[in-house]
Amino acid sequence: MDGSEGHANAGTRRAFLGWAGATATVGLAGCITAIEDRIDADSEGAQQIQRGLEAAGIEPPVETTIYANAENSERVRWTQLVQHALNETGLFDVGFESLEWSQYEQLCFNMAENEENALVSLDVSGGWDPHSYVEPLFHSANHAPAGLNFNHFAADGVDELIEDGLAEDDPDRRREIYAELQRELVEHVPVSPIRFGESVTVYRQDSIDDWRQYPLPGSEYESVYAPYAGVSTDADGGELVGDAVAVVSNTDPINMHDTTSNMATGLLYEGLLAVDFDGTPQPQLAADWTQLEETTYRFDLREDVNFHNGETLTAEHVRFSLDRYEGTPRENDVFEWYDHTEIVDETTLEIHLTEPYGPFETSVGLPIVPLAADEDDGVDLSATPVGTGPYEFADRSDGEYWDLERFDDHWFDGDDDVPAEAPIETVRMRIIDEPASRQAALETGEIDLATGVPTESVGGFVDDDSFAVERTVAGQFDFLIYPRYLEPFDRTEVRRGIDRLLPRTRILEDVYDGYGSVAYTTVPPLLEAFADPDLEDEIVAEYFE
Amino acid sequence: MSLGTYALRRTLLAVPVLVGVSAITFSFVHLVPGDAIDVLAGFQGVDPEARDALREEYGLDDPIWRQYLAWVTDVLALEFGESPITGRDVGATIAERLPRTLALGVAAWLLSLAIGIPAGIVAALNHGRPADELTRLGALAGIATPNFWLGLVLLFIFGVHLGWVRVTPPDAGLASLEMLWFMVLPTITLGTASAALITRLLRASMARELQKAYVRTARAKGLRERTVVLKHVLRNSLTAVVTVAGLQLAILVDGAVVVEQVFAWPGMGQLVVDAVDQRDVPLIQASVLVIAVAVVLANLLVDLVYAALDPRVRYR
Amino acid sequence: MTDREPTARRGRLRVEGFESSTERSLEDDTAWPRSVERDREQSRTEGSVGRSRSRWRDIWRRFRSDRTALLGAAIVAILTVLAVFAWPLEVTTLGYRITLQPFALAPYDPGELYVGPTNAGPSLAHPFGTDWAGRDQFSRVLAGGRYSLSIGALAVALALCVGVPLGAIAGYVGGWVDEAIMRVVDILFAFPFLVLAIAIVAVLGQGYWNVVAALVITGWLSYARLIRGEILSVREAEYVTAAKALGASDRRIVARHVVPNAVAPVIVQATLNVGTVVLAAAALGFLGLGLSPDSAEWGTMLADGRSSLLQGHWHITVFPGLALFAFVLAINLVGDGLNDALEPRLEDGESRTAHRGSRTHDVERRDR
Repeated sequence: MDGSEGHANAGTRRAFLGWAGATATVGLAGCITAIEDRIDADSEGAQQIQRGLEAAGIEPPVETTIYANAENSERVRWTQLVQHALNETGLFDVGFESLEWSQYEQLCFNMAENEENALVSLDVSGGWDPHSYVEPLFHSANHAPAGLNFNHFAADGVDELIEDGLAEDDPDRRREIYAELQRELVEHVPVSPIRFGESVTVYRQDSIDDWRQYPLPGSEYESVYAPYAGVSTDADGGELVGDAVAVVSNTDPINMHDTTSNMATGLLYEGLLAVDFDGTPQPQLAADWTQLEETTYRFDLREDVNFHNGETLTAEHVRFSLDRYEGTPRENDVFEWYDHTEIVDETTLEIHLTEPYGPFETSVGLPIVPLAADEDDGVDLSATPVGTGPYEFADRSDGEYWDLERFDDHWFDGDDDVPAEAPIETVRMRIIDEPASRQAALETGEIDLATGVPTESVGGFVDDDSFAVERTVAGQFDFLIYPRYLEPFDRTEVRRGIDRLLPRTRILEDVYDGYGSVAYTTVPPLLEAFADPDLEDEIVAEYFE
Repeated sequence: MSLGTYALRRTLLAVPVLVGVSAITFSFVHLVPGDAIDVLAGFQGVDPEARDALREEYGLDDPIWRQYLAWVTDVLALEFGESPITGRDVGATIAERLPRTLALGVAAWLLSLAIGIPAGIVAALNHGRPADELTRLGALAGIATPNFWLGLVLLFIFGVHLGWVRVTPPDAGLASLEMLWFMVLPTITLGTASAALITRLLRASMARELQKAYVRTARAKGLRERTVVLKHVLRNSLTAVVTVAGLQLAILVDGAVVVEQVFAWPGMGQLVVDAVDQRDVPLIQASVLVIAVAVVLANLLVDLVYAALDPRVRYR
Repeated sequence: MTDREPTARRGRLRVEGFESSTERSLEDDTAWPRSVERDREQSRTEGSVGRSRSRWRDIWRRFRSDRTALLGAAIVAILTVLAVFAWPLEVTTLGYRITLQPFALAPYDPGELYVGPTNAGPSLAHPFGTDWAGRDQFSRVLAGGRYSLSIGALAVALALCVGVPLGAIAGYVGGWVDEAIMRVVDILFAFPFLVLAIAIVAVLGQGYWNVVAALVITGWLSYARLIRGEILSVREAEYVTAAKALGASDRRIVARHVVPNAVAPVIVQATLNVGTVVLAAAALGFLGLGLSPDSAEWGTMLADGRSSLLQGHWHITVFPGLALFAFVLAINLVGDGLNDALEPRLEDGESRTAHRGSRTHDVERRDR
């Protein structure tokens, strides 16, 4: 896949398309016979579509197909509900098809070029800045297949707002820009947001104390020990056994492209800054930082920071770690803003940007890696990652487990919230592909914690006292992409009519069992500074009631 | 024809098959939709320089037969290259997974023999009687049960509900007691269909054998029934079981693809499914090739063993 | 490996047919050799004798007296009828809607959402309960037979269309043609079915026809081998040699002697293969490579509800699972019964049961 959201504890800007679905977003089908979403051809939405079709001179029903990828069972379900809702109007004849991920990916990335008559469903997860969601999806420079703007949406106002938001570093001004952008996007309806996701972790009360859920998919294990955020967790016997939903494929930051690898290395790599559980950037390897100019930041590194392979952190490591992104699959994580690093002395450096970059502080925390990664016979980060984190790589067996053990030479000296030594000695992530097996393993105590319990099953754990369910809004949303290069979907009226018909409540209740919230905009409520409930209400009132 | 000549001839016959198998496996790169470079790079959007390097490495500008030869040469040296997705050595990955599937497969095969042979004997000796009917229906039921369904149900009953076995593999060596205990359910799931197959096969071939003149003669001579059955009939009937060993291997691999998914067993089956999911073409190629070559070799071995057991074969 | 074939297959044969349609088609070919048996060890080569219809009556009589086979046939028939009449069958083209089959045995539209509460257990209104989207499971299981049965029938029929001619050509023409065809068969046989099917679906994508295609590509091999073996052995039979000596043309020999003999065992195998193919399609569905998840195909329904056991919704997988099990079991019973009915040695009571299954194992072993 093209992008994971990079190193999420650093909250990079790069958006990630979710495919396995079970990673973090969870929901469950309840026993609700919701009628409130039932629509008929007389509804406002249907009338809007009808007007659009008449204007286009198209005789209903409009034939099209809605797609989902087979691996993501929730997505497969919600697309069926959308199909059903559209077909009920009699205006559409929508077929449903599910593809295996590799084909699905091809379909999505080439839909505009091939003029596919397809409604496509995806979810995107990003970081702590709205930019990481809107820019990849809606900027005209990111047309697929190079970017994630799948249906080749282009609107001058939107491009400008995205760029303004990026270049602006005044928080209030940025808020205004992104609010304006949301209005523009709802006005154009290039895609329809459906639901904001939730991250859910279920764990056994008797073996784990105080688990806190990190909101970004791919950073599920931050709670184990995150001194930068004042969070740490203890587990029975100092051993934590959790789950991973897929194999750990590539752990080199410059090649990492999936949430599982990202999750597996979250405790292992550290960056200059890290974003805490509430979205505030905190110093991690940097002791302090200042913005010298609009495009220059100075970082003072912590002293006595050791890598797992014995190297000691210097400014050179930072430069090396950022420079090596050039020409790699994840180049954009860095080179969207990065110009060069100037080494002032052993522990001081200045990062120069190409232009002002609003989300810099949530983007700069990329993994810092040892210089040995440069040598041919040095460290192969893709298989045996080395960083400065509180845990070091211990062992792996593809398809079985991924083991970390406490790194005793970690720099943190302890404070009121977090002890100097991580309470948990070893972390094992058991790789369990089959969702039902993950649930069974948790129930039988073979794992202490599961990040990927099947959506429908969380409710059972909520009712069971021996388990705790930790949930938090996630930096993720599901959305539907229109083939806006094709008649009649090129008509805003038609798209808006469909948007209005989407059975969002029913999807939330019957597919996700109420986990998450219905989405009308593309800024997840996780981003508190940017998600404005009033704006959401205003949009709902204007377009959906 | 001597056994040696037969063996040589039979082995030579396997060569074109192996060539064909490798050619098909090789062609995956070009069959998967998309540019071969993208396929080999795991659709990772690499920069032009890396693309050129890949083009060079795989000789994509060469005529196809040269690409194939280069690939086969590497494969013969067990050089499968690096996975574009994981960056890890493909050969090493397979070496890690293969023993798991072998262990499960051998266990399931032994189980199928342990059930199939006695059941087949009982059925053949009691043909027409209720014991025979029961065996037959049992075997048919074994064939008719979807293995993934059986696995999930067993897992639910014995793992989750009763808590007798773990639902995921323990952290223990392959030969440890813990692991063997865990392997009970996957082995049953995987072995059921094979056991049914062997039961039916043995029952039929024994029944046919029992009709033969020598059995009547032996009985007439007053040999004990037990001796007749075990020493003569069973021995002759078992050759039929040998002939299906190669086929059983294929059935077991098929079953493993599904069973490994259910029991989180990190073997070749899971590897193939994961590789397809991730579009890791070099890994798909290598694992499919290993499986196919194993089947070809197993069939070869079966034929040779069969020829050694039954000299008539060599003349056909 | 083909090398081994004549040996491994020696003395095995299978015959066909209890359905009137088969009977009719074969009545035209009056040359139904009396001896379907060609066990060379017993050198029973009476030649093309007994072209009588009493043969068919015998076969039918034997089949009829096999209670389990009749039971199997009944189950298959019932499931087929239910599948066909579960819900109206309509074809919509060019703005016209043509109703091929107007009956609806199912109480609800199997695709209709929210006909009841979600995930409800069995009740009077919904005997098999409902699924996550409030669809009626009973209607879905009934209509689901359409997918499973038609995939089974189609995949086997198409595999026959590919495998039988190729096998016949290989067997009759011989020489390098034979070598070439059988080598291709050997090569494809080296890939375990599911592995090959996964690869094919990965290339072609999912969907009904792609699943059928994957099943055909892997399914024709066994028929080619089987028919080639049959033809090789029939070709050597005395009555064929005699016909040749009498100056019968190749075409006549093939039509009158070779085809009827060789077709019989293929039909038994085909019957049994329907079961295997249905299971294989279900396995593909389980791996997420089968039909689209909204379809009511039994295997897909099982896969869609595989977490439901743990969630306490046992009914979601139990009923489609039972339907799948019942169908595959029934078709195997029919196959076994056919086998016995067509087995001449059945005439003496002793060996009759003894030989039950001798064909079927042969059949199964080349299934993959």
